[in-house]
Amino acid sequence: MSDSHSEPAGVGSAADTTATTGPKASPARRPVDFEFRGSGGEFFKIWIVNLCLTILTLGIYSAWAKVRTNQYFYGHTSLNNSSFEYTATPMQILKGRLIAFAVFTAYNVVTQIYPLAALPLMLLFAGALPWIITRSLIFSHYNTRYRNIRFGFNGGYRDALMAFVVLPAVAILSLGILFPMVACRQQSWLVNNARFGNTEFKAKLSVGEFYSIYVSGLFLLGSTLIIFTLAHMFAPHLAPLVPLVMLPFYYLVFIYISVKVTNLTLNSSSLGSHHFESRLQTLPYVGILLTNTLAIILTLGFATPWAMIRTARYRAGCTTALVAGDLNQFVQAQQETQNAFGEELGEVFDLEFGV
Amino acid sequence: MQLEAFLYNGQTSKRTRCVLEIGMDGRFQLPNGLSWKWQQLKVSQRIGHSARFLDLPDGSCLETSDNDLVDQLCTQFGQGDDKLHILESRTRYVLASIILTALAGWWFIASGIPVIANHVAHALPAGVTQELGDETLSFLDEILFHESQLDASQQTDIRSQFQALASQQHSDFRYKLHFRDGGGMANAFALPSGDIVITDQLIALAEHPDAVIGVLAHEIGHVEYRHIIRRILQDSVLPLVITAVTGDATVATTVLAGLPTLMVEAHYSREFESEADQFAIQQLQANGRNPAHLAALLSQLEAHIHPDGETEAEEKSSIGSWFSSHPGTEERIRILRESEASTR
Repeated sequence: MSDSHSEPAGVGSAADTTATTGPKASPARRPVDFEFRGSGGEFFKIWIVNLCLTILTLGIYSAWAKVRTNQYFYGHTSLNNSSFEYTATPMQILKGRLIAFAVFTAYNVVTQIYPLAALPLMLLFAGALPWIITRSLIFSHYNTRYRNIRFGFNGGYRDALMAFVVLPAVAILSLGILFPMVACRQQSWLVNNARFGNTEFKAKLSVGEFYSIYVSGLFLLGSTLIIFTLAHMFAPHLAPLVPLVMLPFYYLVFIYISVKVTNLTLNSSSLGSHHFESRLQTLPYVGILLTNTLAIILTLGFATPWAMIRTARYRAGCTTALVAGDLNQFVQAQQETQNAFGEELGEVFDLEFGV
Repeated sequence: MQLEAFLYNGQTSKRTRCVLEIGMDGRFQLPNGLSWKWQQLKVSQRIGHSARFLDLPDGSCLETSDNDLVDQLCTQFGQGDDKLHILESRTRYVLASIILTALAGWWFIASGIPVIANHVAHALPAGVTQELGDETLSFLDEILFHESQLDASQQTDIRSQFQALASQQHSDFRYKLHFRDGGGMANAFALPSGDIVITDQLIALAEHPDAVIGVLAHEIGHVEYRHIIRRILQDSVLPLVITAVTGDATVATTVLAGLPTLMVEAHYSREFESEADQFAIQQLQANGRNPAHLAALLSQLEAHIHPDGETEAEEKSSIGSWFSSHPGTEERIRILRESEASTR
């Protein structure tokens, strides 16, 4: 996995040799869109059967449900007419889930009997968190396949400890001032340790750009606060409505930051000589998410599968690979099989990671 | 039979388009010259119309979107398992799943959560509920109540009857009666600690001493059944469950999950009120008192709150009034009156 990005122009396409002016000049790349072909009606049936069987089996089936859901979403996502594949088996997931459940229960029981144990256990958890995160990423990457080549993740404990425990703690002490730096560090760790076969993903993320995203998010928040304060002063009888209107605006700022971070990260990423483009836009995305939420509430949850499909379709539709030459040159890495333990612990504590 | 597929060798991402000619015995040949049998393939399960992956023993893999042909070949060569896909594609199974899920969801919210809350509430150590009670009372004293204007003899009289009632309970709550001036509010309520508050205004409204005792018995019922703790637990569990079921815990879902909670709340509180009423009826009858007086007080309260047909919204604005937390007053009055008739 050492020679991945030193020789892109040559192997990619023999015909095209425009890239002679230096490392900055890019070889001609053609855009290839990510496509998502799932449909709400079709996924609804899978989702409801999953939910029903999970209830009937008192939760055991949830491992199968998770695999089928992932297989549906991966399998309906394609790039250049080849589909992605999720290869984890339900038994792996179930095993991990049972262990995670046992750990969680043990924690609850111990803290019930010895409330003082909560603090050392939390510290223990903080120490284990980087391990859980890395295991989870290794598992989910390993189980993603495209053109019969597996993804992989190389991240180690020490960097994860820094990015997900130490630096966030420092950021809290700095009253959040350092937070954009931490976010940059985390994204950078996630991308730069990922690989497809033995070809590594690379991203040069600048802390400055993360700061500009977070600062403009803060401005957005500040200006809405001012508008609402003014509205409150001039129309006091509308006061009870203010929190109702404010909430979507908080949500807007939250989504704005995540959209900008996703775009920045993907646009700065490369895989060998191939690049990516992400064109998520805050307002359309917020529109989708808010109508999703509304639909889910009005249908008492039954619109959930439709909402998931809509979101996936929008996200895939905004993502393009800029392919240099063709996609035939990736080489499989030598690897060992993985277990699901880390991923499931990560899931119990509600951590979701993705590039 | 011809199957269109992509072939990937497993060493590189190279893609070879091929059309496989599959013989009657399942034998087929790849463009690389190797020959395999269908029975040797590991076929991925069918999910919606996603592509299928056929893994070969040598690490290479075929990808095809011809789901129907793959299914047909799997059946023909006795391979693969499409039970789940059948469940997920036939309308009747999907409909059955919808109905089962909806029933289970409804059952869990209507019965499951209350049962769990009940168990947890009974398992809570007395110290916790005591603290909850003390803090709430001093907070309410600060913002709502004034010292009672009731004369001492009347206080002692009610208190002794209350103590008699409380001493009949077998639980280890330490019941304590507090008289307060409710500033115009006719109200009575119980705290989870066993502290029961009654306002002068409610006592003044009662035409018969048994009515006051009836109210106090009702409040003791709330404590005995641990209604308040149960309600706190139920209210906090439901949004969690909704978030878990609807999947992603996005900010909006979490925030708006409170909505269904409000809808279910009325159902819960109605149940608790009738439970406390039943308790009061039992206590009153056991002590030779007449539940009809409590019924009378209830209708007076209704008249007090709706003197000239005020709207429901205005009634709700006096949050915490003894009446407003008691839905279905007419129904309750009817039951109290009937219980009187049945004792005769």
